Amino acid sequence: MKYLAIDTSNTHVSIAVAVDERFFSATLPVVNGHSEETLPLIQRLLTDSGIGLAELDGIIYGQGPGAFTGLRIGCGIAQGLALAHDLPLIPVPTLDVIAFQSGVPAVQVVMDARMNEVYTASYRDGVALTPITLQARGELTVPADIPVLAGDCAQELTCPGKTVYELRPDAASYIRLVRRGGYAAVAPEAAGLLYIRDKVALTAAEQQARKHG
Amino acid sequence: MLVLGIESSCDETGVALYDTERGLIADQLHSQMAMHAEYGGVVPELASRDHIRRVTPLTRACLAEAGKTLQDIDAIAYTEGPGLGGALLVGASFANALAVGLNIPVISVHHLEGHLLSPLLADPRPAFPFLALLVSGGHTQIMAVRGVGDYQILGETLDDAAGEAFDKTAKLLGLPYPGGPLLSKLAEEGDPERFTLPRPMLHSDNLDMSFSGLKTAVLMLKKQVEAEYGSIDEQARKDICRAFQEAIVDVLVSKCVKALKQHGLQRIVVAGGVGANKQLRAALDAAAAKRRFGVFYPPLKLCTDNGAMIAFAGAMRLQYARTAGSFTVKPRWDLSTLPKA
Repeated sequence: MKYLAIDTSNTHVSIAVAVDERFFSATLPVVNGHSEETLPLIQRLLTDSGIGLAELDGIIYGQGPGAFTGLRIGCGIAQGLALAHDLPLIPVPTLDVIAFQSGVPAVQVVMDARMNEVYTASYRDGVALTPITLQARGELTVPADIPVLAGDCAQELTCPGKTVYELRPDAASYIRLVRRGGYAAVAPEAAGLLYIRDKVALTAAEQQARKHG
Repeated sequence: MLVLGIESSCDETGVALYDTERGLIADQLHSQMAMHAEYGGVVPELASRDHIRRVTPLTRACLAEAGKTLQDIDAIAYTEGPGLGGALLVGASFANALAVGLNIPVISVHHLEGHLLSPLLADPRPAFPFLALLVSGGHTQIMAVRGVGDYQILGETLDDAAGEAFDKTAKLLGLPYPGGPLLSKLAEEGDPERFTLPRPMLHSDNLDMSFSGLKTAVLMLKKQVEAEYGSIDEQARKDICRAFQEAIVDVLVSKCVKALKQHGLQRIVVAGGVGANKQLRAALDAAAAKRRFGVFYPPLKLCTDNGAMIAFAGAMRLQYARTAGSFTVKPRWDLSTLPKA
């Protein structure tokens, strides 16, 4: 099976193309913005792999949570490429990939949510034990039976007694994880994002209440 | 040549197909107005979230409407700016990726050029040169247009855009968001003789305008009516709306007439959301009949943001088509810096 994977959820851009067992991948810090770097990197890796977009069996993309604008650039690019060749899209939560990359059976995954908060969930044997939630950095509690903390801001958090893995989602890992099964393909128009932080503004009524409260 | 146009600069997702032989052949639009109404204004993050949900279904709907396939498209035009950065990035990401996938070029379009050229999609279409009055929630400019990309700004608002003044005044009068169109509707039933509001900069010797002072004038008028009658009844509110609209329309029409005279132009083209305003159209038509100049409006449907004007502007700029791939957006972008087509 041939896959393209795209992750633009954080300060890096990670792209991978897999042609059966051969992997072509790169993860680079974003200097000029995801918009300038993502498509050229995809094109370069496709060229390296020797296959065309039309030959892919699907495009995998980081569904979130993560940086909103980056996620949308990745999802918009995935939708555009998939639509052009009628390819299925496979959304995968960013935290699932980090849990997979950690290589340990029990792990607490964290991703930077800015505003002094993190997106987090507990995983055991690759399965999320809890829904992904938003938590204040200072109030993060990791269950006693989970020995490892992993994620793109793991080192910045204080979690006494835990082993810390600084990991960010890696595109090649998305492909390996999808190949294990369990992730459904969707049509491009149904390819959404997982923001977790859904309260982004006050309604007019809330603004009024706050003014008079 | 078949050009797909994608607009996502603010709170409307638009996708359209323009055929250089046959004209506009499909035009799909999704307005987010209802979603933002609850917040009393456009929330940029929510706008972006909605664009990414809409852009692919709208593209499919557009192809279905025209009876075309993706392989029929020769180039993809998209709004590069000005507008909300995050919202622009959605359209730009999708447009560039689709173009890479189809191996066709992309064309960056200036949103205001889209508006400015949209009257050329009407029949009859105006010939160059013409005077353009661009009036929307974000812009109020008078321009001399001598060709595609040949724009000279002759005058503009020094503060609020006309549409912004409509929305802010509507809010002052307790009308729900977005209040501008509702204010216009109420004004139709208002008495034009009952109240008079000032016409800011009407007699200034340049073509600039100012609308922010009108809000204060409306507020004072409202207080005066409340003091006199104890409260504002429905009719008084309609009469205030009418006085406000009369003032704005009077300034816009007077400045346009002055500009036509100063620059020896014979045609005026109106574009942007406020261009749908009935009283503005009636006043311009009356002035045109009296002073013998031509007035052109975009089709009513194209007064708001839309993909059609982006597809059309893209088709006018085919020589600027470039290979898709790396892209940026321009939340701020001066129209007069555009190259001639």
